[in-house]
Amino acid sequence: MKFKIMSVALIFVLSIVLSACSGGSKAGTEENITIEFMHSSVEQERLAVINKLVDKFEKENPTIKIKQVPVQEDSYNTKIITLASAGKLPAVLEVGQDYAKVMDKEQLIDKEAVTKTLEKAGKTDFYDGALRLVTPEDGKGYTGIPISGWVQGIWFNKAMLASKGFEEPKSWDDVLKVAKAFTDSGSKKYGIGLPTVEGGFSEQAFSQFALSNDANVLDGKGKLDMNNKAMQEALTYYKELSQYTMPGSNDTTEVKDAFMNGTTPMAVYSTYILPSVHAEGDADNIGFAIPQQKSKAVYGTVSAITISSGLDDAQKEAAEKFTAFLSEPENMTEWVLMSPGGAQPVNKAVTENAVYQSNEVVKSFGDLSTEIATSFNDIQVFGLVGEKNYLKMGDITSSGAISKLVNEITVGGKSVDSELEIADKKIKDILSK
Amino acid sequence: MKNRGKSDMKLALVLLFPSVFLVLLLVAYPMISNIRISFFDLPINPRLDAAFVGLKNYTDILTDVEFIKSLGITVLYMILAVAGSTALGLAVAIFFNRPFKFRKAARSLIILSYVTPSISLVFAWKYMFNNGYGVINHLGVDVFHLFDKAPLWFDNPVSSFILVVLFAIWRYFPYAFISFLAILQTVDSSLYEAAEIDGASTWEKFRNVTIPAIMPVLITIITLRSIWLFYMFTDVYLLTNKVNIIGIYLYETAFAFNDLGKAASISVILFIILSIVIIASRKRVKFNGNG
Repeated sequence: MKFKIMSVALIFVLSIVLSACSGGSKAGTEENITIEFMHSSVEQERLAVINKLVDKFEKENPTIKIKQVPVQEDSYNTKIITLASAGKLPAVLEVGQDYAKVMDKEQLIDKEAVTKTLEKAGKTDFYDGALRLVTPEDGKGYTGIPISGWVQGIWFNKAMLASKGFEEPKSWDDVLKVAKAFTDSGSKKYGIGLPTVEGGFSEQAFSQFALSNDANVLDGKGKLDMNNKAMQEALTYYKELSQYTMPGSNDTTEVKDAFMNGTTPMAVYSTYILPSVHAEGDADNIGFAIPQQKSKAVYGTVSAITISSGLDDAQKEAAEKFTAFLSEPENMTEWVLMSPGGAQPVNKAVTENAVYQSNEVVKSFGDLSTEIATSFNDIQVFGLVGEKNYLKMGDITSSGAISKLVNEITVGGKSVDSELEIADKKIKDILSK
Repeated sequence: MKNRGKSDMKLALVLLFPSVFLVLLLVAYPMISNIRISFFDLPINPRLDAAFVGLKNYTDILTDVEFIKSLGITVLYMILAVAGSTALGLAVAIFFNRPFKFRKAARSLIILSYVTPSISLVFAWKYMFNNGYGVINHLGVDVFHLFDKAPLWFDNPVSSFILVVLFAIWRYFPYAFISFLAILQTVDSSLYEAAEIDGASTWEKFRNVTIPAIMPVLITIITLRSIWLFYMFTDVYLLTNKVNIIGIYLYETAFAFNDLGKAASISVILFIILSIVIIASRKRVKFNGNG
């Protein structure tokens, strides 16, 4: 008897455990449907904005419930891989343009649904540069709907430059002259905060100089074309410029600190430097320059909203509705203003939006805000050749070959030619697999 | 009597079932799944077909020079950090195994490095060794004039390796310290008195009384710390990218190159290597009569 009672109790407990493990059903009834939305806004203030947007959407669409999946930025891509492998990828996701390429390669994006929603949202209002970044390799459709972005260039302290008779540096030579004039390593003063770390930051910064010299990693046919004269010139220039930066591997912290505490009058950094500049009350004193040699090259990235593939019809419809809702100008404005100054609008309707323009931080930078927003049209990134945005560039960046190359020639002091050859060989090996 | 035995056995099985079930669910299933994945070229998208590649993932890994290099660096890192943290923990425990003022406060301070989250410690170290404004370079260059030019600590593979080993020793010695202090307090002081009467030196007392008394704890600490450090990822990954230990190699294979099959085969290879080492060391300890 005791044995029977124990057995029944155990079966009961196990059935509860197993039913708990199985998770809730993804879709609800025909009337009610729940979809998941994964994003990287984990901070309280940002979550509050997204909660407000979700509440507004649920009021307008009472049959659709949005379950948020906020994930830290550091582990975001890892989480996508694990959820995708388990077949549990949320219906709607915030994703960077680089990772959208990886997801596209793995057929994890419903490009048809995304494109349909983007066209409904008014494609012409988005900056061309932002749209190019979410255009897949075959040029058909889009991998996501850009919602915000940031651009990177050379920030300069106007007063410091003026103190030595300089104005906004326009060309490679100008940048070098300013950097040289301000470097005094004995007193720990340097000319420019330049990324030299073996990591993505250096690849992004260097790409601006390379692309402004018309040196891309891939050619028009998507073949590796890196070991050439234009790339050698860009690397030689970057190496020379690195003599006027802080010693060692400079990552985001070092570059930002150096610029903010006046160690350098210039820094290569993203728009995420602006909130700190505003907090210091120095908004009038900052300028934005774009590296220019044969052409202008701004590095930039967009955050996009995408719809995952493999959804059933009801979920897909709900995902499209929610994505379309987030793409409305006033909602995109709310999203961009979660980090005013740092996150930039990728849609003209947001730039012109009264709420955006009246934001205290945006207003404090005056015309600079518009100048930065429109610089999205000058965006160039490695792997984007003409209208072709090659998927294989994702593998090249992941291999770390370019950032290692930059680190070796700047911090390691190695020769441009030999390191370029090593990187070229490494990338060839990766692409042949 | 026989029936009673059978009924007890049934009850025992029923009572054991939840634990066995959980072990099978949480340990055996992921393990078997991992072994299965290691024979496939697995796409991230589960709706796409996985291609069976046989032993290709294993042969690719075992013939990859980077893997062998990583394995060598990891073994050296593990040996140095385990030896260092264990020796330092033991030395501090012996020093603390006596009454003195503020002993409790001192003990609490000792374990700070162990209980503080890695990320805070890593940032503190990175600031300390920062090339521009780090306190170490300030002391070495500006105050004591030990170097003409500030060394680039985390940019040189050798100094980076030394620093990650020192970091591991400093971070993990309190674990050894707590364990050793606990067992040292159980050692009968009359053993030391007897040794002293026999004319034993400090070293002889340590070798003949302390070591045999703490041996079970010593073996446990070395085994556990070796396993933990062999699979180390966070500390080294956050501190520098010049020390490519096996945890980083594995992470990059799985998540930078999205090669889940190869990553699974690496973890199987590591599991085999570590199991062999641990079984061999345990056998040796048993053979010596200490395990």
